[in-house]
Amino acid sequence: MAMGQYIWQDREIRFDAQPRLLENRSGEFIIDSINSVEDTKGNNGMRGSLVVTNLRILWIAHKGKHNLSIGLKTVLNINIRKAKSKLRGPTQALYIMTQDANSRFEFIFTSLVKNSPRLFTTVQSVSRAYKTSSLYRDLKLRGSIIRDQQLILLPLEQVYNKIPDAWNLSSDQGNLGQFFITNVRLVWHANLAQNFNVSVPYMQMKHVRIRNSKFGKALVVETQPRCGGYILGFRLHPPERLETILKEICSLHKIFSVNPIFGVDFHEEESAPSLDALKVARVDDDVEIVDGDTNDAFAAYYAEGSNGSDNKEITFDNDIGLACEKLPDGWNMSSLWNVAGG
Amino acid sequence: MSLFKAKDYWSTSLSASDEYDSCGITVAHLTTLDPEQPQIITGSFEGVLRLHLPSEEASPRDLLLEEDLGSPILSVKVGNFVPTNTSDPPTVGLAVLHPKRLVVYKVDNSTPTLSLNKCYEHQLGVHGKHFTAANMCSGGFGSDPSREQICVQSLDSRIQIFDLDVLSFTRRLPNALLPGPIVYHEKLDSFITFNSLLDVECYSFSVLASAQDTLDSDDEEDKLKNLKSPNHPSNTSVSASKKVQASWATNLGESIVEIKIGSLEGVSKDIVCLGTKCIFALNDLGSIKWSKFLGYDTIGFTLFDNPKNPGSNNIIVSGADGNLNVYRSQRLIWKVKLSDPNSFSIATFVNDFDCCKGMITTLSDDCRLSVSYLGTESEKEGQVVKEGKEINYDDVDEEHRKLLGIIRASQSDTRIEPREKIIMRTQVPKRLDEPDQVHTFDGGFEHLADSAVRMPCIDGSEGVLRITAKLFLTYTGTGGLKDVTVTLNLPDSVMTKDTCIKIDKLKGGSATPMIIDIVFFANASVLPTIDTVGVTAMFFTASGEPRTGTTSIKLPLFFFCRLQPATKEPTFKFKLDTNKQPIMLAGLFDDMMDVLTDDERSAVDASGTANYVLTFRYWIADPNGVPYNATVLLSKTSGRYRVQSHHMPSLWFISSSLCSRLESYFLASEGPDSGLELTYNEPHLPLQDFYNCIDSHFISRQNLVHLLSLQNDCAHQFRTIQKRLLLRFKDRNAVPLNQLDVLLSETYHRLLEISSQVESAQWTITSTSNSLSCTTHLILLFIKLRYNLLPSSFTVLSSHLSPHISSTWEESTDLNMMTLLRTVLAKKNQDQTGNLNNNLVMQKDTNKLKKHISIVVDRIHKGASLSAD
Repeated sequence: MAMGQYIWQDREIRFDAQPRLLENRSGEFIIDSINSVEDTKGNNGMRGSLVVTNLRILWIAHKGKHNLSIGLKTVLNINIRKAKSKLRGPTQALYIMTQDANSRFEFIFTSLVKNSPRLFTTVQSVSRAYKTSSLYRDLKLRGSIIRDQQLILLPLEQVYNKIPDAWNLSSDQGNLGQFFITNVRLVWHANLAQNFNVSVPYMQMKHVRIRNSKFGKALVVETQPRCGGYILGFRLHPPERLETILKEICSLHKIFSVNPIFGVDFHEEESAPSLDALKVARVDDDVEIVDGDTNDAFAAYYAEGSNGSDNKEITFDNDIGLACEKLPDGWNMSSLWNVAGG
Repeated sequence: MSLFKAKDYWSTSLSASDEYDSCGITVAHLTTLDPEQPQIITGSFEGVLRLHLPSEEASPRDLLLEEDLGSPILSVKVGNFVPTNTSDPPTVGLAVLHPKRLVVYKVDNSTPTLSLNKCYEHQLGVHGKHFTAANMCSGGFGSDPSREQICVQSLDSRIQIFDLDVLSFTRRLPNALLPGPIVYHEKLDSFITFNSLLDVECYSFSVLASAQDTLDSDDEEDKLKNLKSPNHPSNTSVSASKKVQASWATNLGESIVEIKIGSLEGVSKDIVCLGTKCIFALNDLGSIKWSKFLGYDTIGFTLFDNPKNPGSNNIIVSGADGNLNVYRSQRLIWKVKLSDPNSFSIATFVNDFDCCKGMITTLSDDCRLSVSYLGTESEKEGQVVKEGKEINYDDVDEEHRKLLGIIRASQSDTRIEPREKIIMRTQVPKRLDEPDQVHTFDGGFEHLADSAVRMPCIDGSEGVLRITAKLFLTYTGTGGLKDVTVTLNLPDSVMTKDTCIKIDKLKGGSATPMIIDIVFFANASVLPTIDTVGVTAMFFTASGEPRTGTTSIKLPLFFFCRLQPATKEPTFKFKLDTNKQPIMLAGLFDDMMDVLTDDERSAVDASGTANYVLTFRYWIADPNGVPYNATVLLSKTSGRYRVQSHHMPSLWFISSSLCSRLESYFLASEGPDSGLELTYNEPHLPLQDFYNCIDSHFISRQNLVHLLSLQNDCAHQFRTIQKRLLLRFKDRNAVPLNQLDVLLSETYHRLLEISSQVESAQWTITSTSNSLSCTTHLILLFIKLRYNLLPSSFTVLSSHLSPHISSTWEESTDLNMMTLLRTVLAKKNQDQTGNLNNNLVMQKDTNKLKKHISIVVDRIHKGASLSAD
């Protein structure tokens, strides 16, 4: 039975995306929204608002169609450094270094409100909360997640079912272990070796179905191609239980799809009076303007040359004694070093 | 900043909540899963041990093992730590150091996943007390490479040696308050460590093993007491036989971060110590082979095989700036920035992976574990697209043009003058000022009064001749200038009260120019040589750059001389031919006629002769009181002029004025192509008269030298007599004076006399210099006219035969003549590079100089060219 939708929000960077892509998906919620923030790197001099959700950082220009959607998973590190803003002059700015596929992008945001550290604190703490909660979202093999035959629960996690006598079919002989079905993921571990385990969040499941294998009918879990596209097979004893388990997993996944738990939890230490009553809902134009030209907005954000695509061969350099990128004919490392003025 | 970046082959982020130390990671073949690929073992302070096996596509599978060991991991080491039951050597195992325990695991890969099997565990310290581990090292201690033992150092610098599952002994290292890095040196069978005295120390394993150390804390306290009381009987005996002593210690004067053993030259093993700023190489005996200042803050380093010289090692030093610096011995051979530019590597390893040999494994400060290789493409700046993302090509072109202009200007040799400058203009009246009273010079300028030229005032009293020129100053820059200094460069024959005028403020832009009146007085004691006054204005721009503006004031002829009724006493005369119609002299010198009074004019132009003869009277008079004069005669039929005088130097000023007036007359009337030719029309140059002039100047110089020497002798004599008199004056029983007092007063008078002679000799020199200057000018003019010299040649000649008379004119001119003769005027086959005697020594006579001048004139006569082209 097919299911599973790929969640890109936290894994990708999108530039000048269509407005509907900027809306919160299910399970995504706004943690903080900061007005008057300048995108100092790509749109210097332009005012916009920075929205931090549990999955990504959004920057939306007040005027025009410029916007950014930076998935929290792409963030490599966050720094606070000096930058030159057109609207505020030299000032402290937030530098976000990211990696999307093979390219690195750098983003610089400046808060136009004086003496407001909110921009820095929110983004840094949300990014940290995201990074320390990867078990909610990522497939994990051989992790240290079982202690004394019991699953170490995540803060928002509840175990719904525990199924012993589940055989893993990854190796030829099969391994006896047990399932934990929780509101976030499916965990299997071997009875004999507790670090022989797998933790599959519902978010990463592409298909769950029953298939025939050489061991008979088996529960097959296929993961999203982005996290490896693994196919995990399990056999239950007795086989009749397969259907009920499948049904359970499917319904839990359905619930998860409606209301997913991404693991980023927060509470505001000093909350402003509720703005919900005052908020005027944003009315989107019902006309969607689709750009004919594929935009090149990302060009401004490259942290280095866009050389991610041309991955060159690795060779061993006999002069230095280290591995290096293959050089064109007629060049060697010492001649390159001398040219570079070393 | 490195030009190159490391490229990641594989990388993963370790848990963000973990912390690592440089000892908490190792890269080794711990399992036999993949014999080609080493595993990366990390142990965090949070107690999580991880095993990663890098693969081409990073995936969750790369994590082979993750286990929470329950207490902080200080260090991990892979070695042959696992004992076997048989007599086989121990097998590979993983030693994990916790603060209170040392555990050795064997990794079992018989199950589908790896699992850690604990082989043995040591509680550190005796009964696990008073020993908190800091770091460890391993090796075949006791020169037994087959079994690897472990040495654990505690936070208070005690060491415990473990031989597999047996504790060998515990020792305290002296001199160490805090644990330094420790390594085992196989060849020396010693531990190399670093103590709190900034010494690198070497402890032999056999010495440590045989020494006795107190293990009990009570005993230790006793020992401390013993040390405090030197008279304690047991103190000497303990230190004599059982004290732990270092084989050697070398002070490095810098805190050491890491020590490693390797061979940098491939000959012998070196001890490589990385300080916080420097790197040191020590030999077996602890002497420093070399040290190198690195210039950045260091984090750690690693040694790896140098393929060029098997057996030797290259070095990678990781800096706090995020660079990995590769050295071969002391030479930097590569520098690479980590792929994540904001972090640095806390631990670096070089290993052979199955993708390639020599891959670099780094653990960064933000817990990113990567296996990378050297990138060879230079780091590119992210291209920045302007706001609005629409390029204005006109602006780009304009900027490009501007930049090209800047590039061109900086490449060309001629510098473009800044636009801000001072422009000066001068205005000289057509008449002299009304003569003023003599007290013009009151207020500090009385010294000018003696030589100023007197004129009758209107009221009949005696006044001073003077002329007031106007100087207009304009500053073209915006704003204004402060402290502008105007300096006047006066010829001898012109005087003014103040040669330096200070202007506090000069307005810039289109403001009306500033006007300065400058009053000039004529000097009656010298003949005029030139008629221009140089004016220089100096100022500082806003950026503090000094700049100048210059102009000159040409004073009129009537300021220097006056017409008088014609006289005819032609001692010296010369003819000047022109190829044009004669010009009436009264018209040519109309300005001179204009300033005359009616009486004077009628006297000068008595019978209409003024058109054909004019006599100019200078202000200076000869010793008989008759003013020097010069007369210009015009031939009635042809354009031939004759200049004559009874005093040769007097010819110059009028001749020069005549020439320039003729030139400017024809330039004004016929334009630049008038074809005017002036010719000196005499058979010979008056060189003899010139030589006489030189001689009289030279004699006056000799006279001055003679007088100065006399003055010196006389002063010496005076002082000697004075001294003797003073001696007698002080002496109680003085001998008689013997006329010494008379001698003193005689000498004194003689001294005064000689001094006044010196003064007059100096004045003579001034006057002969003036004459010589005029004569030299005149001779130069004659040579120029007679041989029709080109302007460039004339410049060469006049700069060698200079009309500016210096105090060593004869010597320098002689040298100049010789230079001319050896260079531009040299005969073709003559050696042009002879050495000239550059010493300016006053000669006995001027014969040589005269000879050389004659030869120069002779060569010019024969047609030699003076200018280089």
